[in-house]
Amino acid sequence: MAENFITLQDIGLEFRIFSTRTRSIKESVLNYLLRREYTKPTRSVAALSGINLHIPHGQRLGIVGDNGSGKSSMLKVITRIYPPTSGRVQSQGFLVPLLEVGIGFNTELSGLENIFLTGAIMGFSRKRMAQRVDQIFDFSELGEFADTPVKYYSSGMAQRLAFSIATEIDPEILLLDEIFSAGDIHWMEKAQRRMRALIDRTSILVLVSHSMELIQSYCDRAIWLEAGKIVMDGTPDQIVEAYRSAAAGGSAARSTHEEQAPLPAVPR
Amino acid sequence: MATSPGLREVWRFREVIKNFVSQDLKVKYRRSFLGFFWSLLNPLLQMAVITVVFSLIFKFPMKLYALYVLSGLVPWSFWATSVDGCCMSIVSAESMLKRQYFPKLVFPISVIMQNLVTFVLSLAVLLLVLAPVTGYVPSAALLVLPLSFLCLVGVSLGVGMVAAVATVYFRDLQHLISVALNALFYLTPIIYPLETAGGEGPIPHRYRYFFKLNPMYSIIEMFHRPIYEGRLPTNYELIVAVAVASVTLGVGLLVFRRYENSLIFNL
Repeated sequence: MAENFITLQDIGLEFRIFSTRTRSIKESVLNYLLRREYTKPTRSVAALSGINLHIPHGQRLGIVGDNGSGKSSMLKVITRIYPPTSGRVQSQGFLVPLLEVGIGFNTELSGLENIFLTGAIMGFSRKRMAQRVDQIFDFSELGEFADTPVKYYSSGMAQRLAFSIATEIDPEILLLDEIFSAGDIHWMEKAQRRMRALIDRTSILVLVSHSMELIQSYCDRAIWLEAGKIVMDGTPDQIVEAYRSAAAGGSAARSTHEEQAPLPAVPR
Repeated sequence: MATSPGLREVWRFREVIKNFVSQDLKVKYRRSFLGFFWSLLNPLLQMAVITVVFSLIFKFPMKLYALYVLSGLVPWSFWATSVDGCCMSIVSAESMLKRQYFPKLVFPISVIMQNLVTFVLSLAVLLLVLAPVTGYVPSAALLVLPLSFLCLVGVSLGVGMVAAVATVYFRDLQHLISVALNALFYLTPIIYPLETAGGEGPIPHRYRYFFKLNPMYSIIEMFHRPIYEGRLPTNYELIVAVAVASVTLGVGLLVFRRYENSLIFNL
């Protein structure tokens, strides 16, 4: 089996923030005709800058940091959802991001058809996915609703299905943004066991979470992001301790930085 | 430029395209009693109305006119529906694009493929239905149709790609595009012939030149010639159609490449 890895080389990711949200021809034409200020000078926000990171085979990396520190952006750069403004991303291995569950469900289609669609998006052929359908319905306990359009599912059911699909696929690299919640207690326990098993099977895990306990129990390395930069890299215990004391003491490292404004933005 | 995902990337996502196409077709036809035949009803009705109204106005022989309208209207519907569909294809995939990586080309291509299925079927069925009514005799010239389809798909995908990208930046573009498509429809000889044997025809000679400048003219003629006239397009017509299709496709690809990586930040 090939060695899996992720390498980020000098990654920079900039969002350009527009002051106005006018994105229509009508507005643009009116602005021009009335000689209105088209857009106030745009400012750019560095969501990530100068990130160098190598995640070797077998590593479980936890990422901690405040909201807007670039944690999610980093996962999205690794997944290639965001093309970086500068630098290079390389990865080797079958990568599945679980950033938000329920990816691409078409609610008009039945649960079964959505399994195939999600599988295809994650890179599984229909044939390979067909072998997993039974397990997915077994685990999600939704077998009797296989042919029901997803729009008639309760949100809990839809989430159960999504979780079951995502965890039935064996990724080599697993990117996790927060841990899925919602559902009754019976389901939560079951889901956590399954998640644990999945994490044990993957060769690389990158976990973003606000729960220090999760980071400490799942990971063997952690980094601390602050305003888009790695401020500390070490064992989960070291990082959690430093992060906690910074949060408590309001240390110098905690400069005030702006919330990362999500949209609209263009990279430069 | 960090990454410039090419066509190989799209090929890797062929399963996704397959899924999009089949799910779209399923949703479209699932809960309708007549299924696929609904998709025929629209062009058929449109054609019937146009045939009756215009054969009264222009005094064309009705039977032949029906065939003429059909052979132009079906490819036109494909083109218009495709461009219109491509327009919102990326914007409406926003929630997916924010959770998973996709080569964005997947979306316009899926739209085109969905329409292609409907289009090929409807053309075949309409010809079969109309054959007894109009006394239509298929000719060997129909063998050129695969090439006509290629040109049509090229133009549709080329314009569709640009429309898909541009709509991300200007959301109201879709309204403008439907208006433009409507105008272009009347400027393209579909419900009226540009040239009629013998007579003057509805368009005076000195204006015909302008009609021929319309890129869609050459594409639609690729269907008029074999289906309606039962003859092959001339070499010149062939070259123009292929050139129009390739240039449009090329420009579309260039625009797409240039903006593909910025799209996610503008959704």
